[in-house]
Parts: sequence; C-alpha cells; structure tokens
Amino acid sequence: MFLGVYVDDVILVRDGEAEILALKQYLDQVFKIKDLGLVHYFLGIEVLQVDQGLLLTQRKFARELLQEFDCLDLTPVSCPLDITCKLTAEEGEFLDNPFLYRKGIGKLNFLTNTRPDLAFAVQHLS
Amino acid sequence: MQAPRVPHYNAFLHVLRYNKGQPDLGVLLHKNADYTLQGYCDSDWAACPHTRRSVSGYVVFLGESLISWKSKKQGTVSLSSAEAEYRSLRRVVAELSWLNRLLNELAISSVCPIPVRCDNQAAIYIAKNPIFHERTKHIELDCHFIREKLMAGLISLHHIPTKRQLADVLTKPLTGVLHMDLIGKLGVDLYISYVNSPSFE
Repeated sequence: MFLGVYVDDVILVRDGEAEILALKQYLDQVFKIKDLGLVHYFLGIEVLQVDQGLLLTQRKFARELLQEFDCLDLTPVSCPLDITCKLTAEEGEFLDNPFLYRKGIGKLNFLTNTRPDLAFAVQHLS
Repeated sequence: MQAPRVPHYNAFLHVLRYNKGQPDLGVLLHKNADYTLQGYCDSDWAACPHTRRSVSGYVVFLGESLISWKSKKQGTVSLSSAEAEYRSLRRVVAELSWLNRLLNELAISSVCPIPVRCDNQAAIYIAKNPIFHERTKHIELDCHFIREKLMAGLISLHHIPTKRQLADVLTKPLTGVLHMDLIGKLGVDLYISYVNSPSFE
C-alpha cells in the first residue's frame, strides 16, 4: 500500500479494495476524513480513469491561462514555436510590462508537469 | 528573461496559440505491470546563438508510460556535438540511477542494465573506452560518472537513428507534423479521444 500525503490531501494506492476501505475507516476514526472516492484531482492535476490506465491532464489550468492572456481571438497553430523565428537578446523593443511575460512563462512552466510537448518551448523562452 | 522584448512576447503568444489548439493533452500512464525502465537522450549542439551553449533533453519510460522528461540549456559551452551529447547522457544517467533506487525502495525489482538510447556514436564510444583523450580530458567528471554506472551494470548504451530518437522534441523546434508524431509516440494523449470512445462511462 502506498500513501501519498500533501498537507491535508491524501491518496491511497493498492490493488485490493478491502484493505483500502479498512485504512480509510481507521483514518476516519482518528482524523475524521472526507472520502472523495477515486482520485480525479490532486495537486492541480486532473486524473482521468481510462481503460488503458490513467490520463494526467491540466485542462482547467490550460484554459484559464488562455483566458488570462486574452487568446480567445487568436488562431490555433500546430507547433509550439515558429521554426523560422530566431530570438535574440538585442532585437526589438523592450516590453512595457516584463512582469506579465515572466508570469506567463511561469504558468507555462507549471503546465509542463503534464505537457512534455511544451517543455522545449518553455526552456527556449525562459 | 531578465529583459524580455517584443519578439519574446510574440513567441510566447505563439506557444499559447499552440496551446489553444491542444489544451486537452495529457500524459497517459498505462496500467500494465511492466517495470522496465528505459531512457533516451539527445542534445542540440551550440543551440543558443549568444552563449553558444547546447540544449540537452531526455525522456524516461517506465514500461510504456512516460514518467520523466527534461529540456534544459547546458551550463557550460561544449566544444563538440559528442561532448554536448555526453553531458545530456550524464543527466539521464543521474535521473535513472535515482529512479532505480526509488523503485527498489518501493519494493519493485527493476531490470538492470537499463537501456539508454542516444543518437551520437562518438558519445557512446567515449563512455565505453576507459582511456582519456585529448578532447575529453576537460569533461573528466562526466566521463567518470557514466563509466562507473556502465561498469556497475546499471545502464547499457545503445545507438539509435536520429529519426527514431524520441528526445528530439525536447532539444529543438520541430514542424507541426513531426512534432505531433513525436509527442504521440511519447504517450502524450488527447483527453477527448477517451471521452468520445464508447468504452468511456
């Protein structure tokens, strides 16, 4: 049996439901717990139970990020970076608000927890 | 990051546009009890136009599931592509030795040696040949580390053609088709493909 604890959130992992139930009953007696059933949201990561296993996503976070940066009017593209675009440290105007950029990159960095496809782009821009 | 300019912000918006097309991607963890580890490592030599530092990238699979990945600009300048590859090899070997210990701690016996696939023959030769050469004497520490793990039987090194190199997507920007193809092979899956399938409750 594995027990993952983050502050007041706990996940239990084990094959065999009886043992999990027994531990949950014990924990409830000692600490008074709220049983949320199968794991579906932990540490900001959504867990979807599918036939093949578990799919980890951050769909809510990705959508909120798009909203925050007003991307609703932008057209989608098929790859994270424009391969013809070369970035340098000397070209172009300075940003009026560099904090916005840093905040955005920070959020993208959090998104790479479930998105290896963004890992290179985030590395490249930070 | 210290002084971002307009082109940087535009590139950032490009990433968001990509994300807009694919907000539902996630990593699939397979439920089969396959506990074999394997690693892929790659590098892009002198990728940064200013500092001429290279980028290293690696992916680690447990069975069929992708469990660890990294894309990182290297801390120092590498003089050859083999050296850049070798430094990224060191990173994946460090990750694998940690994962191996973690698995043992969880009472899961993993299979050693763990295969590590790399598309640079020269880097593999440096690891296998215990002699220091003119061009590797300055990366002595990395050499010792990988050779030690190789000798101890923790890892085994294999060459893989670049087009089957899964860590490629973590070291350089790719075009749309190639990008989607590679991330598909990494086991990055669309949420929607499961929700719409008949087996989903």
